[in-house]
Amino acid sequence: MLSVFTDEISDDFDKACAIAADEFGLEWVQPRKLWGKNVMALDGREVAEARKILTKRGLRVSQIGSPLFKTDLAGAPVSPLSPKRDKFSLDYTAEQQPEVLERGIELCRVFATQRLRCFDFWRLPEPEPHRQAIYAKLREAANACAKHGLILSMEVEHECNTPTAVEAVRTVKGVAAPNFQLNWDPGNAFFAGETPFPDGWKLLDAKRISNVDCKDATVGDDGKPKWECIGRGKIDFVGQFRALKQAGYRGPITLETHWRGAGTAEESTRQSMAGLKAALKTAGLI
Amino acid sequence: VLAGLGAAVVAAPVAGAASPTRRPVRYPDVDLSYFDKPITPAPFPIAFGCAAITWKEGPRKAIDEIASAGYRGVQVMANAMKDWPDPAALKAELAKRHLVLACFSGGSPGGVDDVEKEVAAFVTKAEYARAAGALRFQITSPGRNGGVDAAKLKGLAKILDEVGRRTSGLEMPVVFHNHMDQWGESPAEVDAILAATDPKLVRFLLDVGHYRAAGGDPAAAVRKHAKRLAMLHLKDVAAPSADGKRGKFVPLGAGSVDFPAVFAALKDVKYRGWVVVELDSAPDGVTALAAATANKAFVEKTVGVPV
Repeated sequence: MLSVFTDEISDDFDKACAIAADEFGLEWVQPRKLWGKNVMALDGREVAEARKILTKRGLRVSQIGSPLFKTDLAGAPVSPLSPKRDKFSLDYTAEQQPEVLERGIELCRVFATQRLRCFDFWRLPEPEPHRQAIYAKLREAANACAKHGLILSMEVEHECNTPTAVEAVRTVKGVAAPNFQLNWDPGNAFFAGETPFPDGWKLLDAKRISNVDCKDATVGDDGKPKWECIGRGKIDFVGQFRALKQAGYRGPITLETHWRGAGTAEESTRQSMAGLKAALKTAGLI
Repeated sequence: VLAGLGAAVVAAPVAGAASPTRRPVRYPDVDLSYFDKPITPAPFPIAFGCAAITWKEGPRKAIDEIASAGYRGVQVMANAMKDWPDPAALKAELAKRHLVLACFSGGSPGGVDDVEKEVAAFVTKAEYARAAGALRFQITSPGRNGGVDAAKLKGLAKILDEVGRRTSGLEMPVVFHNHMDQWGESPAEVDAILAATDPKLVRFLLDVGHYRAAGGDPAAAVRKHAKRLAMLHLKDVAAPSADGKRGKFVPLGAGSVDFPAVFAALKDVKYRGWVVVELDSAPDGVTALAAATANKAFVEKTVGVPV
């Protein structure tokens, strides 16, 4: 299941879907932001239009790119990272999360997908005292998803409280819900200082991976990590894909470009998709 | 290998599918009116803190009492560096009290003649502040003795920019704080300083009390400088007397600042972030804790949500 975040191509959903289907040859996409609006903010008319476009282009939805729990944890200090929250037109507070979850479940239903993405709150300076509270929130959400036959797919995210595979193992164990799975993201783990493959990957249970986000990264002249076109960065995607194949992984592999070195989102995603396909081919996945 | 494992998508012949080789897809025929009701808007996107300056006994008592008053954040002055020479120790003390270091007061430059010396002193404080967990680093301006002119404001802007540049890797924006009796006093001087600084390097801390005392409209300043705004100080000031004498700083709600208008403007510009209650001193006969508690109650009544 090769997929792409449509907003990494264009905010124009029809144009993004046309490129995903006709140029990239994909059957799957992940909606996160459409027409400049977060998927959570779509009204009935816009949901209908999105479904019409997907149908027209012959595309299915691999996962709802929900911002669930990409917010401050209630009862904990405000994270220094929280002011950056509006990257993807997500704009929901801790108080709104029950409604975000309910709407995410409904979006899964109308877009006919089994996977609802979530996070585990903006990274706290000292997360340890709050781990059990985080696990409880995730468990509660996973249980709600289970009632609808859905997988709660938590992204390993460097700005949240599970930034690496090392911590992801603990989170999976702590949440302890069968339908709670990981949205493995080697790029985010790299940003958090981990070598995602092979070091991070070898810690993970492939059976608990629900989606793999793909964006490459490298280290800039200032010594800080920065996004890169897939195939030109430091992440061993060929090795990662071989390992996924060996583990029998059959879920989505989703391009989440982030790199903008080609000037525009569309062209950067086009080049990254080429790099992604080359790595998949070398690994024997396509 | 990547094919298959689809969700509950109904595969059925559909007219108009893009490609004859592509599997047609059809989404479940369901009522979508659920989505016409948007998610209930968030109550209030602002976190409130309190400044330690009110406590003349020093920052240790200040952070104890600010936490006990129920604030979520604090602003400390550079005197904290004496109480906690190791920034990690300050960070640990704040964490024990569940307080965020919303802002660190870096003080004001002594002048603009020796830019390098002034910048170096601020950078040292900024590095301490960030290591202690600060989210913003505040700089004010020199006193007005000797007058203010365009060259001085440009000199100040140069210092602010350079501090911003040298601390850009700390992810702790430098914020310029308007202040009575200093170069950055009047709305025109604030405009000039903000215009002369790089928006990427220097943000604005609007002190609504000082801005009002200087003859400005704080709500208008929120709207005017919305893109630069990275922090607010809540302070109140009595209206000028009939003979034009400047009013005294007073507890929130007792002066001439139109706080409902300020919060309405913050809502309009979608301000998200910290707002710090800052009284330079408690009223006569009132403890700093009592003043902070009363101000918190005023803010809660004004915005209608718990601080």
